[in-house]
Amino acid sequence: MRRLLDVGISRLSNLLHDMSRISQECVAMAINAYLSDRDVVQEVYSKTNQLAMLKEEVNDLAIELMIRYQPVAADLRFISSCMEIAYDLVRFGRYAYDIAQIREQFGDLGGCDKSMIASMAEMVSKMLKDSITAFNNKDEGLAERLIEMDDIVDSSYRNNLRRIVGSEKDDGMDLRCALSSVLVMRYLERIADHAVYISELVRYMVSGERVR
Amino acid sequence: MRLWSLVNKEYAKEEDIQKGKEVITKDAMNGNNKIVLEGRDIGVAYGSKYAIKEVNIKIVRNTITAIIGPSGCGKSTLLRCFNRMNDLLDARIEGDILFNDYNIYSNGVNVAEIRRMIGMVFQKPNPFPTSIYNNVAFGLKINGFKGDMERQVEYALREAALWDEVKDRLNDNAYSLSGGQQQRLCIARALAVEPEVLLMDEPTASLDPIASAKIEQLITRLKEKITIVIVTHNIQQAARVSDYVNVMMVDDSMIGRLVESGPTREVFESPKSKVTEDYISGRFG
Repeated sequence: MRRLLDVGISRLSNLLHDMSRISQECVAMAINAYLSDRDVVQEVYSKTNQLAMLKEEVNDLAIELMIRYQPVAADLRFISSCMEIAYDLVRFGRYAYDIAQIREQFGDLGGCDKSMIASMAEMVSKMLKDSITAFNNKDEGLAERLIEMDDIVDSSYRNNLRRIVGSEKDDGMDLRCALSSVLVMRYLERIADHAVYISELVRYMVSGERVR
Repeated sequence: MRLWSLVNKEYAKEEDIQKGKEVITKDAMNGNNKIVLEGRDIGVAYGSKYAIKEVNIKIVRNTITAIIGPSGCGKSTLLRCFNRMNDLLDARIEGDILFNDYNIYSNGVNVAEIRRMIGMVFQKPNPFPTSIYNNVAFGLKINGFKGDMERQVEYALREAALWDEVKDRLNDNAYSLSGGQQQRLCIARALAVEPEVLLMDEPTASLDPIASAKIEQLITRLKEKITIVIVTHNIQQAARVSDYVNVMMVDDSMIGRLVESGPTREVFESPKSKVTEDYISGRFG
């Protein structure tokens, strides 16, 4: 029996689906632009606006569903998680925007070594994608693996930081390159954290167990 | 010393009386004994047909416990076991029901006293065709109340959040009250004899949302003094007012079973059983 609530839940899923796609596009666009030294600030900004509007829509719809149908159990967990996941997806967009702004703030970074960022960005992009897949498929196993991946990202972040600080003693990295790299790594590390938050919500949605 | 009178001394065996004494002592010394009612392997059969079977349930003192489930799953049958109202329906009862650790189905128990201490309110308000005052005083009179009757009636009406609405018309016929007021009058009548437990069988089923909300507010307040067990079809009502929820379902043989029990938040957020999940989510029932 298809309930009235199911129609609303389906709409909520579609909104989250749209947000997931846009947030992934945002992050990919910002990272690629940074690595290839291109300016995408306006494009990313416009997508973050879309994300913010969609998040409002998610929250409005979630509250309306709660008022109308007083959902419980799996429905309640799904709806409340959607509100939190919408926020995480907005944060993806926000960090992508921060990354996109780096070039504007630091100028041409074409001469900087970006290999550390490229490798970290690859891991983080995978985490982002996996967190969204885990949500779409309600895949608790994949959600759990994201925590392990986050440990690798954190460790990579710390190692890269040490390498940048250590380079001062040797030949010394260009200050603009060093600062911009640290900032981008920090934003990537935060994106990974939000991917983990989503994975925790997936586990809550599926099992009812709060892990955060 | 209320529990002492649980045992009808005229017919009671000596060991029952001794047991009664133990309960009194225990209750008097340890007034916060956490479980006030406990059902062990309860079965109720009408003729050869079981209505409910192997129900194990605990009711925590000074809480509101809701019993929910689809029609015909035995919620009301279970509720009626708690003050032996099923005795009136020629039902066969199995298992034990302990009230403050005392089996209310043991020999020699004073059933009238059980029903005084474990009061009941029904789906339809059922005031007597007499004055508001007499409705509340009725239970006191038949229980041989010797204290200040007017004061006790006022106490009960205040407890039932009805005093302000009826204090100037206590001699009016109870039927002149609205449905919601009549239900609160029935609650006042039950409270007048100062029960320990109040059983409520769908107490708001015939009331409008405002009258229902008043009853819900009232029972939420009452749990400070008494324990409430409420049967309700209204899942949202159970979520709003109860501290614990028990979910009943019929099995393949159409026998009512208790399928899940737990704190309200847990049952409504993360039910353990699939049938509970489907029922409370409105997928069937």
